[in-house]
Amino acid sequence: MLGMIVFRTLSMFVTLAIISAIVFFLISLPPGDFAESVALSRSINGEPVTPEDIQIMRERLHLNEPLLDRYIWWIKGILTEGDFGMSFRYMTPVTDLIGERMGLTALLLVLTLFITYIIAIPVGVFSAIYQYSLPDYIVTFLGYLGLAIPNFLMALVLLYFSTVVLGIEGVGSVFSPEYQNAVWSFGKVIDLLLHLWVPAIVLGLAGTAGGIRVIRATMLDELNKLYVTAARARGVPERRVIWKYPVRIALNPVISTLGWNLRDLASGAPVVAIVLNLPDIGPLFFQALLDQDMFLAGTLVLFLTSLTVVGTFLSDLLLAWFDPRIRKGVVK
Amino acid sequence: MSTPPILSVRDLRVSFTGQKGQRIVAVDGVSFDLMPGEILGIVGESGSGKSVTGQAIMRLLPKNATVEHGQTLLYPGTQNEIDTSTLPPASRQATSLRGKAVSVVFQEPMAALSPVHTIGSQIIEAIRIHRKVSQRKARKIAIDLLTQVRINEPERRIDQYSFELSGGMRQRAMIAIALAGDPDILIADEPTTALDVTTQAHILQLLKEIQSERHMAVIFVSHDLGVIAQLADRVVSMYQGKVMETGTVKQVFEAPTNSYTQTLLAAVKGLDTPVRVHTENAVEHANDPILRVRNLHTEFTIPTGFMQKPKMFKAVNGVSLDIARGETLALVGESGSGKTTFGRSILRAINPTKGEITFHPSNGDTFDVTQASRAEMLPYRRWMQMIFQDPFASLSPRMTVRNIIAEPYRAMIGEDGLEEALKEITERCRINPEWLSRYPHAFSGGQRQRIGIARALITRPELVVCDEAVSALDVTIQADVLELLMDLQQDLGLTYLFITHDMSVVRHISDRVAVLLKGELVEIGSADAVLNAPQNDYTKRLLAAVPHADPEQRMFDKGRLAIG
Repeated sequence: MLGMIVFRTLSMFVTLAIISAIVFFLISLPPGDFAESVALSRSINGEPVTPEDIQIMRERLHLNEPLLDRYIWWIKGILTEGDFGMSFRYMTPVTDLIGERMGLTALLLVLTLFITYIIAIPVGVFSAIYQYSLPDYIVTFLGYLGLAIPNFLMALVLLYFSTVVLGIEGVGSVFSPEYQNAVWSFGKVIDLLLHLWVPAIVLGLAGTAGGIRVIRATMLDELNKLYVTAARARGVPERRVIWKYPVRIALNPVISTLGWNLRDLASGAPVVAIVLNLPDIGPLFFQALLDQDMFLAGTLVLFLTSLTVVGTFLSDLLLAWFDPRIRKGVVK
Repeated sequence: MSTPPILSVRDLRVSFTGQKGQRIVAVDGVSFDLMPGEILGIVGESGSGKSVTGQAIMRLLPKNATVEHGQTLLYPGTQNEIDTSTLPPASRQATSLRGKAVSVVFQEPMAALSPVHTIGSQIIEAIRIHRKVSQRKARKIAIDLLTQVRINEPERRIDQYSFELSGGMRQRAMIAIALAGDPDILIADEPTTALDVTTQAHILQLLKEIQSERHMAVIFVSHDLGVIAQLADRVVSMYQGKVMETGTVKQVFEAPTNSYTQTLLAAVKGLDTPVRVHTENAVEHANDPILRVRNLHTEFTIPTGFMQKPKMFKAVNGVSLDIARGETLALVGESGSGKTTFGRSILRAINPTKGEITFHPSNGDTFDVTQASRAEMLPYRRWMQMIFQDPFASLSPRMTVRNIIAEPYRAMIGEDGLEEALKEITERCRINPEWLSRYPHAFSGGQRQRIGIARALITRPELVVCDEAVSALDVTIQADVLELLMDLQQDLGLTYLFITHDMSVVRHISDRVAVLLKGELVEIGSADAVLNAPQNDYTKRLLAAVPHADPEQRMFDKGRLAIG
């Protein structure tokens, strides 16, 4: 068990290193670079840019040096000084730029996961127990809808609904005006949570619908297993039979897909954040990719991928803790 | 009859609703009484409704089943009388009767125990449902129960999971769970069918002892007449949902009045008599082996933790034997003895670790099986074929019967002469030509096994490995398939390596018998010598553990159990 944790931790770092390299090279693949995109936007604004200007900017930003050198220099900075480089556009260190936004993104993701499972598990179990009943059909239908509706559309619908129909102000920002610039307090946290539910629901919709379907399907398999009948046969009351035995097994796929789920959420998050105008990393990420703002974009991709890698690692640990067959190495 | 029965099943009719809404009657007007302290054996083949009857008594029927009419009366004639068939399955009343009035032990202990809960968690749960005791007290009772079912080191076992226990130990744990509510009636539904014969004997003895100590009434459901003859006081024989015959074990086994019961007993007795029509062949060819195996080892690596040295499991450990041309060599042993691995190794379905295997087909070749490459192996495969145990899993559900049977011929010979070969082999295996365009799901177990046999024989092999080829079949069908196999052997001059755990099958068909224990050959000799005068201790124990379908030769009554 301990060996496995050590091995997985090591391999996690290797994975992250490989991903960081791929990311860095991928971002530099499209033709042009940051200097050109700046020149382009300036000339659109009517400011003339000479080729010399571009050349100077390139030199200042080390854009002329070989890609590999720049990558090594970047990684070295991260490892030795925790320095993720400068954003070209904002001319500030990447860490300063994304610090608070990253926290908001992480909070949003965790909250979404929480809402997803709080809804998906009981609904999935319920729908399996009452298979082919009216409530099951309704849940299954809603599940289809949830999978089918694109995030941004749902975001727009909820925005419209809450502002126009319900008349709630400030959905689409993270804080009420009075807390906007206030220092962190209990009230501010509550205010944040009150505002985050819209993006959390939008983001979690597909995951919840998927989760319900997975749990329903596994439950239907497990409910017919002999160990469930055997539990009934020794006089265990029905409700306890359900929650102690088949649910325990039906949670396995949920736990093992935690990592992927996190990734799906993280890649859906920027779109939702842009639509809802959230000050998280989404809009920043989008702009950085357009600009070829290498270090900013690279850092953000690295953050999102490490979410997946760490999420998968955590879900494996959780699974081992949860299922003795995996812990004792009977099933791999 | 002065004492009233403890359970009375009266005119019970249970039907299932099929997927297309059709009605399938599983139990059709069944009536019997269960007396306090008796063991009632319910015997029948698959589809006889014997298990469904048990489920109906416990109100544990599947969702698509309905009790159409009839009663399952507990404690009839007393003030506690209750008809369980009228109770809603999840009602408090039904729940409180389960485990306390009636308990059940299932066939597959692995499947009946939760894979993610400890044995203890499940026993303690059962104890605390029926008795108001603390967790700590319940744990004590649980350890006590584990001791009663003769599980060694109960303090350690209680915190283990089902996958950490052996098959026999799992079934003991199931019995402990069933006893936790101190039930008046125990339904044992094929409790030893999934177990090895020596383990079976121990479990049967345990059940018998517990039953007499507690003066418990037991319904023992089994397809195995031997087990029923050993254990039951009275017998109910069932066929297609109906009771065929009821009587004391002596009446039913010695003078059955019903024609179905007679057929069933005849099939079992027939199995117990040797046929050995071709013993001369074996003797004649004793110096002409078709296969010669020397010092064969087959090992598997067991994956262990990360960075640890993998463990080696020696499935076959230095076996040497000859298989004579035209004989039937039975290879017997319990699960884990390496008999299946041996069968697969000689066909190179698994690569042996070391040793020699030489194959001598009738064309005079000498073929070194262990050294051959895959390509070199191919032309010889048509002479060495295999018949599998599970007629359901071994046929692809997506292929027509024609394609299934033709597949090896196409792979090893080609399209030339395929139609003639197909026609001939289907005729020989008594396969109706109309079957060929259909898919396997349309056929019964016995029919499927005939398809599997045709597939193995279409390339005209000389050596056929039959791996538990009749073990999954009902006894009457088993007799048919064995007869077919022996006819084919006679007509086509086949040599069989017959892998089985079933001693009556061995007695019925084999010329010689080889006994495997933990990958090693402990005894080999003529069927007569090995079965009637075994030399090895393990062979003796194995033979002593076989329950005979004869109530006069009981193993457990006098507390003697020769298998130690």
